[in-house]
Amino acid sequence: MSTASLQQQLQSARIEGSDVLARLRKDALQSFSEVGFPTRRLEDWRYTDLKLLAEKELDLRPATSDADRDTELARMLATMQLDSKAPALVFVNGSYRPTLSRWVERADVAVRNLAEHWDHLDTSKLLADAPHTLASLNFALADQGVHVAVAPGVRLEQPLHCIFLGERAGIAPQPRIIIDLGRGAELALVQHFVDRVGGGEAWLNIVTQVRQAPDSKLELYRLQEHGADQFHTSLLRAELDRGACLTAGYFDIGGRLVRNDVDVTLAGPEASVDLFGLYLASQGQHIDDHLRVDHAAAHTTSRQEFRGIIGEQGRAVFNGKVLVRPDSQHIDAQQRNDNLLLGENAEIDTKPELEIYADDVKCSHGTTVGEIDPRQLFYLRARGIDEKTARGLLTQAFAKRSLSRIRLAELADRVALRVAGHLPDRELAEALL
Amino acid sequence: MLKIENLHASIAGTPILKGLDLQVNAGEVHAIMGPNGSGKSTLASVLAGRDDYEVTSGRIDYCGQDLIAMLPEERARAGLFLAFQYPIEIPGVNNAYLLKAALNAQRAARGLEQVDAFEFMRLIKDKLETMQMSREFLNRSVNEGFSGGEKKRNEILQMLMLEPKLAVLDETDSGLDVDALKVVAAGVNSLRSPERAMVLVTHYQRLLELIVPDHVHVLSAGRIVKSGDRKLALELDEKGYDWIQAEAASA
Repeated sequence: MSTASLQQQLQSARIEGSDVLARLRKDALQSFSEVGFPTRRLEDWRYTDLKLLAEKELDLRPATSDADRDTELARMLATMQLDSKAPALVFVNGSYRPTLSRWVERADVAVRNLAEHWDHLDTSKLLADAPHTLASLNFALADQGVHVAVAPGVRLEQPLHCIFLGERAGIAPQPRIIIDLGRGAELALVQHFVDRVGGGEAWLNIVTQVRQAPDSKLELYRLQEHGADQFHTSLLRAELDRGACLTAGYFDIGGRLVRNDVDVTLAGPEASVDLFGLYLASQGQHIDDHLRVDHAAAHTTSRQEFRGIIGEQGRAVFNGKVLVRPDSQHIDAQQRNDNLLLGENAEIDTKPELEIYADDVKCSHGTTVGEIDPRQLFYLRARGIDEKTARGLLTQAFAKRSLSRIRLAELADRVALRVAGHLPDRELAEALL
Repeated sequence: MLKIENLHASIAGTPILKGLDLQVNAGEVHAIMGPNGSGKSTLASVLAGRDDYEVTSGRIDYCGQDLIAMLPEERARAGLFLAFQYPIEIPGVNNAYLLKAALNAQRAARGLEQVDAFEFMRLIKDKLETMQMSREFLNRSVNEGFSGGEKKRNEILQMLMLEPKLAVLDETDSGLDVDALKVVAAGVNSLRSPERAMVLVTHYQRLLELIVPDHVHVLSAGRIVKSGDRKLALELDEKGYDWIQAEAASA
């Protein structure tokens, strides 16, 4: 987007909401307008260049799709969804579409459409987006999204699916999901990104904000299967109170340029976060995961375990930061990033960052970058398995560690298939599953 | 079945095999013995097609085919089996899955029907018993966390399932205690048949008490320097390798 076009789009943005909210959103707009898209001069963006995205002319506030297309969209969704029975909130081109969603209202779990609900949101409880500038843009423009609030002690039995379907080129939706878990509440939530744009580019800039009251549990999965021309940026901003537990599984398979930021604050003792993921990048894809865990309280635990399969002309970036504050004793923080390079010109830039200011801390980190082990390859071939199949088998074996962490069978199956589909011979690989 | 003529092979430019000749006929069991560094394992690896070994000259005829020109997987499908000296651990690849895939790859190459999971379990049941392995081994990743003896037994289990024409056992006896050695030998002996040949690469005679060879060859500095029957193995056990190396040097 040219600066002029961006400014014009931002200025014409109708800022809705209460006075307080309107002011906050104007501030966010102001702060994004001042700095614009992050550039590679910033340390956090050294390996990811958004120039290609910034140059596109995209509509930041796409109109909601016509209701008379619901039947067509419903059919499209039926072919893509992971689970046809689980409750699902459907977003088309970034806008929440209750008529396409599967959600039965209940008193103990509130799902509110932000487009109608911003005015009633307690803005004092919003988490700051700073320093994530793209999140500021999202906040300034986010009239779309949902607020999910689970009452204390309530456990939603089925996972709640959020399906993001993009089906128009030239747009840049900015949805926001706000999750509030009451004390002891439990929720599993799947964010599933798909599109049927069919040529042309689009950008999705999503922010997920999570507040977890003491002893609450959130299991969050993301499956990103965008088309090859799509841009995707995301921020997960979570704050966990005493004894709260967050598990987040990131599976990035599609997209042209993908950047995920995860920013978790362990604000109360015994809070724990477990982040894991698998990214597959090849053929000009660029996938960047930036994780940051702030151990702001003593007796907190964090795990980061990401694996990457990088094929020919693929590029991935992994940056895992752990911050342990001076008064945060008895910390256990572990981090691993393992990468399998499969082709020519495959590149990974991986960097653990540990900032530790306390002394009673158990921290470990490890990074590996390797190719398929020739001894394993020979062993399989010596048993009569051809080289291509053997490579596929070893690639799947590498992915298995991440796949085994998924507790939802439909999701695990889909990811396994996508891993197989990424292999040179899709049919063969699928037959192996 | 196997005819090796004047075989020269090197690794990273260093010659290891220097003019090796060997003929193995169907129904025969040959033992290749020799001191460390004589090229025993190189021979096994070259037969299986490991590409870090370079064959610089000579030829290997296997059942009328030029073995050197074949890919490792083609050799396996043509009935050649190598029991590895150091079986490789493959985390994430299920042991039963590998065995079934290997079996079906070979069956496909021979124009036989694929074996399904049910048939596979039926086939493997007795073989697990022969190798004194529990079914639990099938559900584990290939060799991952197996003890040395378990790895060797797993190799022989694979051999029993694949029923090769020519089995090459590379120091299958190393690292085994007496009981495990008996189990492994029983497995190998159960496969002996007039249609099948075996090459046992070993450093010690003790395996040959349990798997009695028809021919014994001594490998030294990359060549077979002496051949005989099983009495040669006993002689080697008694006198070591020095006399043969001296004999070879003076010849």
